[in-house]
Amino acid sequence: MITFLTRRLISAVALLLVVSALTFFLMDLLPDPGRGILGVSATDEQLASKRRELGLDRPVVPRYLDWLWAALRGDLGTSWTTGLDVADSIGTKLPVTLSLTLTATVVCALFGIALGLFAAIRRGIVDRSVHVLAVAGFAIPGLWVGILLVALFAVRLDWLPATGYVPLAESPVDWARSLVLPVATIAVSGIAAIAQQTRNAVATVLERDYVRTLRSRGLPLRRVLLVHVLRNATPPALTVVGLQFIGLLGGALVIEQIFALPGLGSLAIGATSQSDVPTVQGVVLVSVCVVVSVNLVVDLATGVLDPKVGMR
Amino acid sequence: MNDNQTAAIAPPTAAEAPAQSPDRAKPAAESVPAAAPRRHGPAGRFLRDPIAVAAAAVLLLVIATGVCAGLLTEHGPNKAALDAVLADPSGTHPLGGDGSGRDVLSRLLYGSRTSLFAGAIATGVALLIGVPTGLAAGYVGGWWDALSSWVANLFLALPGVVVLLALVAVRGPGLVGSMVVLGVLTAAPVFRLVRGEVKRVRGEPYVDAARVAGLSDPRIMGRHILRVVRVPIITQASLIFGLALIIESGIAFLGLGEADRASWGAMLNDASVHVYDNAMLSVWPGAAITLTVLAVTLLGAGLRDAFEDAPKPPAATRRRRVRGPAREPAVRVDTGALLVVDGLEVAYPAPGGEAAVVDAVSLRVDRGEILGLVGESGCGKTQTALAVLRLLPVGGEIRSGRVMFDGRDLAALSERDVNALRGRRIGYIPQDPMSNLDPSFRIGSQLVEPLRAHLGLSRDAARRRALELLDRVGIADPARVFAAYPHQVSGGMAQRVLIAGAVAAEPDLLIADEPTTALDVTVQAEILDLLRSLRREHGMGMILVTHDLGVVADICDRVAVMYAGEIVETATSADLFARPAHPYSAALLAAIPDGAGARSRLPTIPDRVPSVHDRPSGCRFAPRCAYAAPGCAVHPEPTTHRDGAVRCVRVENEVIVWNR
Amino acid sequence: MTILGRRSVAALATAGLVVAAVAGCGGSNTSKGAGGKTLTLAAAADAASLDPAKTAGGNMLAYLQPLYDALTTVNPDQSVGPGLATAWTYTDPERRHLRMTLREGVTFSDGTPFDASVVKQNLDRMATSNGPSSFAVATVAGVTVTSPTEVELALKTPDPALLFNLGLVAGMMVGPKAFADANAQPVGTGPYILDTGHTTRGDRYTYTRNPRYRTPAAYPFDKVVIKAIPDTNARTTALLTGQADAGIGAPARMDAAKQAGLTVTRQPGQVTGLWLVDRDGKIAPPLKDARVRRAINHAVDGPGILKAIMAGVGTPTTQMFAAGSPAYDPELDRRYPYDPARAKQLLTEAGFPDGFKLSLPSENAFVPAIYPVLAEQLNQVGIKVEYTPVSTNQLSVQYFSGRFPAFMYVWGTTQNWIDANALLSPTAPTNPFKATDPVAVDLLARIAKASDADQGPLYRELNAHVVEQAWFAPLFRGETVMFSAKRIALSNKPGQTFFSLSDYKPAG
Repeated sequence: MITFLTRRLISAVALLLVVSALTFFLMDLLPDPGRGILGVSATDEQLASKRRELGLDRPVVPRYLDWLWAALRGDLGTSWTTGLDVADSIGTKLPVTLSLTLTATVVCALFGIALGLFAAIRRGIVDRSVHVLAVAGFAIPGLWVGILLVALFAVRLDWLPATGYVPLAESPVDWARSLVLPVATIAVSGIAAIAQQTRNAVATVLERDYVRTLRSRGLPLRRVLLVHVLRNATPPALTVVGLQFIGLLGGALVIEQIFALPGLGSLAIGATSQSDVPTVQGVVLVSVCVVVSVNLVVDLATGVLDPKVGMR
Repeated sequence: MNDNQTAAIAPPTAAEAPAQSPDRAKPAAESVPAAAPRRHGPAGRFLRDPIAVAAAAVLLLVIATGVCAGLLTEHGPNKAALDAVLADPSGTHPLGGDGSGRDVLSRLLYGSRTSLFAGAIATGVALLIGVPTGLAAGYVGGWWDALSSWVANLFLALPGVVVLLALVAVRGPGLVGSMVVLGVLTAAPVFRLVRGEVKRVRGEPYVDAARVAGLSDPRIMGRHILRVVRVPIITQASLIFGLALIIESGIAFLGLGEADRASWGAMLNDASVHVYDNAMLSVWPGAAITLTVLAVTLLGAGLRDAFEDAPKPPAATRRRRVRGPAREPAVRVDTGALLVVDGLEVAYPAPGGEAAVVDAVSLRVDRGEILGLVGESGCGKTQTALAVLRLLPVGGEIRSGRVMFDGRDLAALSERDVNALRGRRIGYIPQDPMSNLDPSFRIGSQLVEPLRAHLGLSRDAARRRALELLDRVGIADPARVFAAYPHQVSGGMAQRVLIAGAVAAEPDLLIADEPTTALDVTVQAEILDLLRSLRREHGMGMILVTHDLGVVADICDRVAVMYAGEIVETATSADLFARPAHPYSAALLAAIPDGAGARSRLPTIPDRVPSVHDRPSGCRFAPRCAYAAPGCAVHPEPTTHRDGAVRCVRVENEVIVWNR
Repeated sequence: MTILGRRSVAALATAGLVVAAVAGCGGSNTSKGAGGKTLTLAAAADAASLDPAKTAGGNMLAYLQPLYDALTTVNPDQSVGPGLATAWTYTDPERRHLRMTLREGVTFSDGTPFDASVVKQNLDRMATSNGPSSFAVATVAGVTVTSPTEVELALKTPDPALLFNLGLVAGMMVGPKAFADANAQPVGTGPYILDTGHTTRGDRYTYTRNPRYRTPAAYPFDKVVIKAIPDTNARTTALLTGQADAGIGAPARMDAAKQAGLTVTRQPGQVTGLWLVDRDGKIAPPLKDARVRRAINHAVDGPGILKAIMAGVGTPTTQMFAAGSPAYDPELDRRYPYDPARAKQLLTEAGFPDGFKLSLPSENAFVPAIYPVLAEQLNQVGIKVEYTPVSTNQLSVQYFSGRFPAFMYVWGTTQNWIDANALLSPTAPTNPFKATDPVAVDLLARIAKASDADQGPLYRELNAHVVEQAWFAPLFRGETVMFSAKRIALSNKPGQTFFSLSDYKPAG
């Protein structure tokens, strides 16, 4: 257990180092941010002075090490373009992205797992529908679904807000309403994907000999399914849900753009387009941290569920 | 080894291999016919798959529209006219105009070029990088494997979208650049896939054989390994191609594409601006992307199936149970018997209809009697046993016949009623002890659960009873095993646990499916002793499914011999071993190698059991039978013979001194 | 995870209360419930910083105006009036020494008195802050405190835009004690102070009255809330549903706004057009010929594009200077009607009967829909456009580094000198090829030293010269469309290009 955690932590730290270094050096190739910050009217002297202020007159490696050292102490620096504390602006954007991705994951997982279970047990038409839906869900671009949903539910029917985000603190009702369409957009492909994977996982377990043996003992089918099959199909399903969540973090970029949600994705797009290196670094760092933690949680949960790993 | 002998006689093709393996743990593979009657090459199989053909047609259509875009529309994709801004569909603009007054149809047609180009670049780069590195990592291993795997994991963890964004920010918008980067990023999963497959295949005997034969590594890779990995690569490539299309549209949608390149994503971008005044604009590019990705994905699946020669998943439509009229009873229905199986037919869906894996099987077991059910792998004996329990694998169905247990027809009972009998009155001992215990639950709970459900025992009482049972089946330390997980006990121990579970409620009938196959000889003998004493104590009837004639001789009162789904002979054990009536029974006995004695696995007879589809219309054994005669072209019905029955036309007319 | 921060904690803490509030009033209209004493604005961008030294003008002004007074005030007609400085005068004929007399008895919200040394500290800070508004005081060589109520600014060169700029962000006075943390804890002399407890960065900013403010009557609202809603559709929806009292709406939904009982106010905005910057023909020789540049002006159909693509929200124009400003001459807008035949004729006269190739950048953030039309219209007269896509973050670098002979740009300031200097001066960073001509140089020099009254005719002369030489090919002047609730009376004078906080009054 301890060795497992230690190994995972070491590989996570190595990953963070490499990814942050890669993005830092990549971002260093960006054009001079001075014009973007000071405006087109800035003089050459002002630009040069800005470069000095940002430390861009120094080589990239020591700058990265400085950034790293500060980040290790919890200081992500301040945005070059807005002057805001990067940790603060991520702090205001992260709840939006997490609201979106967590809600979507929960919705996809609930419906997907239920549907997958149903498909695996019933087979037949349900099974084939889930398969078709999964392929179709992969094929339909989320951004098109988003546009269609907006056109129908926001513009034509005027039931839901087309775009924008209302913080939970402001109005839980409006917060929920602002998430319906984005989450639905994700759910179209997400539910089908999770359903298909769950179906495969459950079908595999259902073909296991011990399921037949348990049934031969006269246990009711429902009990075998709900206790034994579900339990053994949980680790693979959990892995799928974890992957889905990670995929959503990347996909949130487009979804946030369609629905004008001020989340990490919008922050990343804005910061990249303005060569705002500290903000990009912060977003990358936080995303990788989230990804690593989700993987770790999934691994831990899988380990706890698998008696062979002996982590309980 | 039985396997190797058969293999030496008839090298299995990929499709037939499952039928040749011992029928352990794979009832579905054993019974579901694996191949269509006639064989086709990949191309032939592909052409017989309507979905794949349709997908290919759609893709060809998309390619054709891209290539011939100039012929199909007079408008250029970037030619803008102010009077066509957001124009409704008309003669000049069949699909209307977009937000800049460009012809929507023209952009749709030219856009397919961009999409296909994007997909081709990303897929090409991913394969060019992923396949060679994966082959090398899987085949060579060592430091190269470690290094490349680490790099692949790194790429998988990179925030791909941010990398793409940064690239666009650095290099400026560009389709080729973005797709190359996407290809590099998706090379990681390709690498992992290829590496995994190669690692798997590398240990296979034929690769070893090739190496021993002196083939060079590159040739082995090219000839043997690449053949194996091509199928997963095809699937993966089709997914990457589809992904590239979607990512391309996403990049264009985010405004990071090339402005003057007609692209479905750019069309969606334009449409999203006009969602309030012209929602139709998004329909065409959206549908085009969906259809193309769908076609590519399904084409990939079709190609995979064609190359893999894989059977289509059975069209498992849920049919209403149709029970045909019971056939002429071969064994008189005797209500005094414990179990009478009468004209049982079990069928699975198969390409072009159904395959009956158990055909007109009739059996009888009395109280306190042990019936041996023997035959080669794939003859249907396990299917018969499972049919009695009504626990056939997915797709399997009792098509006709009766299963009279204690006067009630199990085949006609509701699931609920059958379930009430399972465990309580009919016990089941599976063949592979390790795969028949739920690995996630402690052994104790798996014993206690049915006890509480069936006998209504309290938690404590059930626990005491379970410990008694464990003690009864000869487990030295019941408390330790009770608290253990299945992976913590040995195979013999697990089999005892399973027997304990089967007899927990003191059933009247015990169905034991090769209860000793997976165990070594000493443990086998102990288990058989255990079964014998259980029979003595409780007067249980028992069906013992086995291909081990030694076990039959050891414990069975009577024997039923199955061949190709039918019972060919029933007799007392003594009669069968002394005077087998059916040529097949005789051949089985004759094939026991000298010196191996009776305690041997079912021996090998030349040639193989016909597959479900290749069954002769006459006697099913005739093609392998040394005594086959013209009369054998008629399918024989069972006839009474001594204390049993035999399904052979020649038994009635001639007294054959069977080769014994 | 401390970076989740106070917002989520606050969210949890207040969730229950808000549910009750919503259930009680049956809607989410927070501004109406506050009894008319609260003004809720929907802003088109988030506040970059509340420290003027780190802030540009434009959208940011709305966040800063409640907090800070500037040295001068920019009136709706773009003229400059007194602010924290009550009077000023140039002490030399070269107009390089500006003496400003300061308002007396003003204190910052933290009690610090406002005086001349504060002005010096602020202007010095602004000049050295490397901020987006630093350019506006780049001409200031030094600030001298001549008395507690008087400062003197020494200028490197005459700067007719200086007093205007001192009325915007560059002239905003920050309390010296707050210099270190003006973004988080701003201190000014403005009518309001920031209510940090009800402010969530990136989302909403709440301002309450500054008890030390000298003329509170000029600001009738007790509380001002500014919500940052960058997405136009979301902002429009917020306005339509009454979640905000006023803000810039989506032009496409003007009718819906009117139906919902909102007041729609249109103000002239920025000029969209081609900048023909390679006027000396360094990389695109044909552009050296004024006839070619005029041909381009005739070839592009500004009114058509405005109508078809911009839903008619704006006015066609051929000049870069703001409508209503001293330089503006309505007659000039008739100089280049859409006339492809005339354009071809001009090209033929210039020696390009078969046209020529023109390399232009294209972008995807500002006016993407116009590029195909522009290319098509230029193609009609024989000019083949080749677009090079440029990503948004590289626009200003690539456009103003001389990589392209011309480009489409959306430009708009309101002050003639700023425009004239940026567009025409050979030293301006926004003039990549440093192209100019003696007439323009001469006029610029004369304007710099002219009195306010004398500047007008000179500006008009300059404007006429630029239009005649066709240094630009403007398409149209856009409009900003303001949606405001009926309960708000919005004072809008002709030519006014943005609203100050004092323009909002309760209706009736």
